[in-house]
This record gives sequence, C-alpha cells and structure tokens, in this order.
Amino acid sequence: MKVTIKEWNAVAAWRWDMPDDDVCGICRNPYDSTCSKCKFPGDECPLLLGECNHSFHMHCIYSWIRQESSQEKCPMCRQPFKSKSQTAATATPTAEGQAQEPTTSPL
Amino acid sequence: MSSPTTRPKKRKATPSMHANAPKRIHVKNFKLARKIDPQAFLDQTWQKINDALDVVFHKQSEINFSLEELYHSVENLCQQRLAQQVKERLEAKCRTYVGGTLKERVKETVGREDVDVLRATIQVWATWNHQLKYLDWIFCYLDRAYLVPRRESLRELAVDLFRSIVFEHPKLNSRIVDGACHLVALDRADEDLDRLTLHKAIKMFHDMQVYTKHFEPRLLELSQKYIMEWADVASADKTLSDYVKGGRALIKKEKTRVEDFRLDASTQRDLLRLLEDHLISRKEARLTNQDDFADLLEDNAVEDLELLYTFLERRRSGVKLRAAFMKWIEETGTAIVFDEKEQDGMVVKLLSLKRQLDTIWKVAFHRDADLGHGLREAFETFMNKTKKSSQTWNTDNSKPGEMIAKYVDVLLRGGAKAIPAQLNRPVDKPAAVEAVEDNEDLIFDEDSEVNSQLDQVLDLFRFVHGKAVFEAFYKKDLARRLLMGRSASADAERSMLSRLKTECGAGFTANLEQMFKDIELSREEMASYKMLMEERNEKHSLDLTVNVLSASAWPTYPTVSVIIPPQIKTATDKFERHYKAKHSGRKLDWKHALAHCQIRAKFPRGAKELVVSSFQAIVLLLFNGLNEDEHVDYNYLKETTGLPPPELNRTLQSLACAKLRPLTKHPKGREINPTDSFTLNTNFTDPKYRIKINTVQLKETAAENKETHERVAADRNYETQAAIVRILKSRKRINHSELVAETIKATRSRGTLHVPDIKRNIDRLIEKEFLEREDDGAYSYIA
Repeated sequence: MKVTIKEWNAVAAWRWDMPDDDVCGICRNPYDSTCSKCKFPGDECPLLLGECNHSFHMHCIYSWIRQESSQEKCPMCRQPFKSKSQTAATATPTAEGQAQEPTTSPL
Repeated sequence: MSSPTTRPKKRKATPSMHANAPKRIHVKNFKLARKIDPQAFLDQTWQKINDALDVVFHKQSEINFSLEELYHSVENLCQQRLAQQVKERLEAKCRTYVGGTLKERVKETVGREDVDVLRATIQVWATWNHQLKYLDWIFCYLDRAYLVPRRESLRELAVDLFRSIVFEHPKLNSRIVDGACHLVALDRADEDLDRLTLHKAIKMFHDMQVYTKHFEPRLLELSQKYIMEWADVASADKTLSDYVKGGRALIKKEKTRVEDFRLDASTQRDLLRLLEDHLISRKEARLTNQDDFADLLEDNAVEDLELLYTFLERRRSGVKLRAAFMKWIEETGTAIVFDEKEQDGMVVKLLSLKRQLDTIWKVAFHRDADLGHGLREAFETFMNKTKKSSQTWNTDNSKPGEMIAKYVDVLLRGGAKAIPAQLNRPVDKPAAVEAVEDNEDLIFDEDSEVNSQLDQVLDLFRFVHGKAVFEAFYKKDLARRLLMGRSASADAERSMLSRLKTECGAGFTANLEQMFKDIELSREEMASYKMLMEERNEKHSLDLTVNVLSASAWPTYPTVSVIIPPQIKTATDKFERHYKAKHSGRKLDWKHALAHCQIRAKFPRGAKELVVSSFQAIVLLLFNGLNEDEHVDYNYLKETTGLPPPELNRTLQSLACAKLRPLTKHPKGREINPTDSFTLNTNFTDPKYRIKINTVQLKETAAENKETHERVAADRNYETQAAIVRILKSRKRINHSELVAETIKATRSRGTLHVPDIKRNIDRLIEKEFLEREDDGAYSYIA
C-alpha cells in the first residue's frame, strides 16, 4: 500500500492579526467586527495600525482625526497619529487595492 | 247628390247674360231615378252574400257563386253607404257561426285531455283561417274602404271574434293553454313530443296575440315548478359534477326548445333567469359545498371544475368558490408541510401542488382574479404555519424555508438531471395551456430547464415570511458547493443569486455575493502564487489550492484540532507566509475540516485515485507502507491524527463501514469502538479509476442541522430584542400589549412572532437592564 497526496484543497479564513479579545479603542467593537457604521466586516471595514502600535477601525480613527479637537493625535496615547501600514503598502505594491490602504492625511 | 241642386241655378243665370244670343239647345241633366229603396237593396244583396257564407262556413256544397260578383255586390253596398250595416251583419253572422259550430267542435273534446282540447282548437282555428280567405276576398272592398280608415281590419275582427268566443271561453281557455304546456312537459320528460302540434299551437297563440298574455305566464309558472323540483331532486341525489352537468344540459335543452319553437325572446330571457335562479343562485350552498369541491380538486378534475366555474359564472358567483378553494389548499398544504415522514419530498410535493392549482386556476377558473388572490393567500397561510416539532429541533423555524433551500441545493448540484420526474414539465401540462404559454420554451436546453425549476421554487419561496431559515441553509449549502467544487453550473448559481437579489434585496445577498467573490479572489491568488513558485523554480509534488474566506460572510465552522502531515504543513505554512506578506495585518485560520484532496493509492488489486476529505486522507496516510495483515488500532489513530473522537469515528466509519471500503474494521460492525483495529482492505476495487469517497463531508449531519436551526432561532431572539429596544427608545414608555403589537409589526419580515417568545425576550432585556417594569405594568427604557 502506498498513498501519495496529489492535490490538497485547503480552506482558510482570514482575520485581522490582532489578539483575540481586543477591541477597537474607539467603538469598543472587536476588531473582527465592524465599526459602528458598517454592516459587513472584512475588506469593507479595515483596520489601521498606528505607529504608536494602537490600532482602530479605519472608519473610527478617520472620523476621530477629522474632529478639530483631536489635533490628529492618537486617542489612546496622545501622540500624533501616523499609520504604520503606509510603509507596508509601499513595500508590497502588488497588494490588491481593495483594502484602500489609508494615508495619514485624509484631509 | 248635391250637384243636381246647384246646377239648375247656374243654368238659369246663363240665359239672362246672353239674352240676345241665338237659341241654344239645353241638355238637361240626366237624372237617375231611384228605383230601389236602399234597405231593400241591402236585404236583397245580403241574402246573396249570406247564402254564399253559409256555403263557405258549412261546406254544404262546392262553391257555387262567383266571387267577383259578390265582391262587386259588397262594393256597391259600400258605395250606397251601407258599409256600416254590412259590417254589422257580417259580424253577427260570424259570431253566430264561431259561437255555434266552431265552439261546439272544441267543446266536444272538453271531456278528454288538455292536449285534445288544444288539438281541436288548432283544427278549428285552421278551418277558421281557411274560411277567412273567402271573407277576405268577398269583403275586400269593405276592408279597404271602410274598415282600414277606421283603424280596423277584417282580419282583426275575425281573430277577435275567435279569441273572445272560443279561446277566452272560461271553460276552454285554461285547457288550451295547459294543453300546450303539457306538450312542453312531455318534452322535458323526454317522452315523444308532438312537435307539429306544439309548433302550430305556438303559431296560433302568436296569431291570436295571446302568447304574452295567456301562454307565457302559464308556461313560466309550470317551468318554475319543474325546475325547482329538478334542482331539489338533483342536488340531493347527484354528485356535484353530475349536478353541474345535468344543470348545464337542462339549460341547453330549454334553450334549444325555445329556439326550435320560436318562443319569444322574452320567454327565453325569463326562462333562463328562472333556470339560473333555481339551479345556481338558490343552490349556491350546494355548488360551493366544501367536501364535494374538495373531491374535485383532489381528483384534479380540471374539466369538471371548469364546468362548475362557468356554471356559477352565469350568475357571476364563481367567486363564491373562493372560501372552499382556499380551505382545500390550506388543508392539503398543511398536510404536506407537517408530514413528518416525508420531509424530503415536501418541496417536490408543494411544487406539484402549486402547478396543479395554477393549471386549475388558468384553465378551469379562467384566471379569475379573486380566486387567484385566494390561491396565493392560502399558500401563504400554510407555508408560514409553524409547529415546534422534532423536525425543527423545537424551534418554530419554518420547515418549508429549510426544505426549499435544500431543494435548490439539489438542483444546483445535480443540474437538470436532478429534477424529479413528476416535475418535468412536458408531461403533465394540459395541451391548451402549453400551446398558449410555452411556445418560446419549445426548444429548451438544460439551463433553461433548471432555470424554470428555480423560478418555480422561487414562487414557493415568495410565500415564506421567515426568510432567515432559508438564508441559513442556503448559505451552508452554497458554501459546501463552492468549497467542494460541486456546483453543476456557475451560470445557474449566478442566476439563482440574482433572483434572490431581486426577491429579497441586496442586503439579503450581500454575504452570498461575498462568498462568490472570495472564491474568485482565491483563484486569482492561487494563480499568481503558482506563477511565483515557478519563477522561483520551486517544484512541489503536492498541488496546493487554498480558498481564503472572509469569515463573516461564510457560515461559522468550528476549528477542529488535527495533526497535519508534515508535507502538507510545509506547503500551507509557505502559502501562509506568502499571504501574510501580501496582506499585512491579516492572519489565516485553517479550516482543515473543509479541506478535501486527491490521493493516489496503490491497492493490492490496482492503483486508484481517490477523492477524499482531508481527515480521510490523514487516516489513509497512516496505512502507508503497511502490509495487508498489519493491524492499526484505534488509539494509535487517535493519537497520531489528533482528531477528536467524534470526528475520528465519522472518518473511520466512512472508510471502513460505507459502500466503498478501503479499510477493514476488526471486528466487523457498523459502530466504531475504541477497541477496534483496522487493516487495509486487500480486496478493495472498483470499476472506476477515480473514486469519490468524501460524501461524508458533503452530507449534513443531524447535529449540524440542529445547530443551524438553533442559530436561526437565536438570531431571531436577538432581532426581537433589538426591535423591542428600538421601539422603547422611540417611545420611552409603553404598555405591554402595545409593545407586543409593535414588536410583531417591526419583525414581520421574519415571520410572525409568538407572544410567549416576545414575553421571554422582554424578560431577558429587563434582566440586562435595558428596560424596567413600572408599577402600572408599563415598560420604560433605561438610558
């Protein structure tokens, strides 16, 4: 008896690479869930990781930064908020644009 | 006579004017001397006429007078201004004759039957008419010069005489009329009808102008009695369809008779009204009787139903069938929906029921709008009946929703081949309908066949209120089809999706679309990954394909712990690294339970290619290189695969206890025990080279079914709670009954909630301190 595997059709589900029980610091929803405005989690409602290592739903942090009073600072540590993923996005230009990798200056 | 008196005056005046004129010859007016006294003349002439009339009336001898002479005599009499008297004498003469001879002849028959009286009358009437011809000839001048200007006529006079003396004679009148009616009754009783007599009688009535006054009312009176009796007897004795047929035949027969004997339009109208009134309107309860009507529907007796409908429609009461129609549909439908033994056949049965009813509606009920509404309403009612039963794991989910989803799954997996024989349409559609509607479908291919099936299923689906159950099961089945590559046709999948989108809106299908998108993206991803591998010249013996899912769009799958063979592990790890590099911030959760693979296995009796689930493959790999008599025991398998016992048992069962058995279990038996051991099945063989034995993965287990049902029910509870909170947020304070009503209204799209369920959800919200119960029983929102 000899058995060889020729073809393997695997199935995997992707999720945001975050600790399981962590929530978005703004909306308090889990990262794998949506921000308070979206209906469908996933690509439609991506996360944004700041250089300060605080991450939020992209929509959440955007609407925060848009407020005058935020002074474009991270709501958790009060450092100027800069996205880490921009560097990641430029590093792999082949990445699909569906996540609409954000820039730090939405305005 | 006036001229002779004026003329002499003129003549006297003329000579004076020409006094000196030569003598002239005067011609005196020729004066007719009146020799005979007019009265004497009348008597004398009348005597002649009288003699002639006697000859005519009594036929004593052949006509021995000159008609022309008599005609002139009458003319002379009239010119002598004796017309009035002539008329009077003639009338008197006729009166005696009609009242005497003619009447006597009819009266002789009084002792016999009505028909005989009628016959005698007709005979006498014919004689009288014959004799009238002579009168016409002789008294023509009288008629034209004297009677017509006075708006009379000889004929009228004669008819009037006959009518008033013979026909309207108190003893004879009813007998004559009844005689005619009796003839009609004979015809109704299907006995020999003296058609000629009846014809003549009707003509006589018309000629005498007594049809409307005497004959018609009596005929209608008797007809009514007859029809009433018929209707009473028939409705009691006959079945519904026989009654309808009988009734229609009766109406037809009456109508033909009316036409045959040229009865008046008014008679026809009144008779029809009588017929319809007694046969239809008054027997409406009988015609729309639930049981009999149900029998017809049960037998799918389209023709009888059409007869019944058109019969009722004569009185515009086809609609009255609605109640019985709806009741039958509801009962039949409910029986199908709650038939616990035949759950799998439910959709097929519902589809055939729907088709049968549609045909009945189109053909038998002539697309009656009201009945059509009734049909749909009734369908909606029973399709949404729910019952907590073991079939739905004691949730009140709608079973039809689940079964429809499963039926669609069968269709989409099997294509046209999966359509059950009884639903293949060319078979049982009536030709008439097919000709009208299906012209464009005459050339149908598999796709359109599947599509038309999908349309029909969707017709059913439309009736279901709680679409959540359908969604849950459809999603589960779709996921399985997509991941295992089991769809028969991508086109069919897409057309189903677009149908659902139009039916339930984009929100309903967003997740389903995401699933398709994931599969599409994964395919592209794999293509670029493989290209990358080739560029790097990394060859793999293993052909790896990965479907990366967006977890939220897909059904939730439990992660089953398993120890993956190292070669697979390397390949997947490599792909994971690639994926992570490409999509920053993501990680992959492997769902090994969903994976399947192809393996090549060399059995003692030949090499085979097997399509197996990942778990099956992992187990089979452990037998690699083993001899046929080497036993592998259960515990070893458990440790090396790392599978939890239920999964391992299922896998082993599918390999050693199913139809195709690459492994042999020791000891033999259907259940897997921890003490069992396994060997390779040395006799394993199959006519095919490529064998699929991963059906265990495709089938839904009872536990999965239960879980899906429970999840739908739980979702529903959350939805209910959300609805309650929304209502309270807007109202702040609300009393119980109002809250219940509002909640039902707000969640109607998911089917009607039961009040106890709402109560339970209110209690849960009170526990969670979203609301509180106030002293007067009202609820208020806690902000």
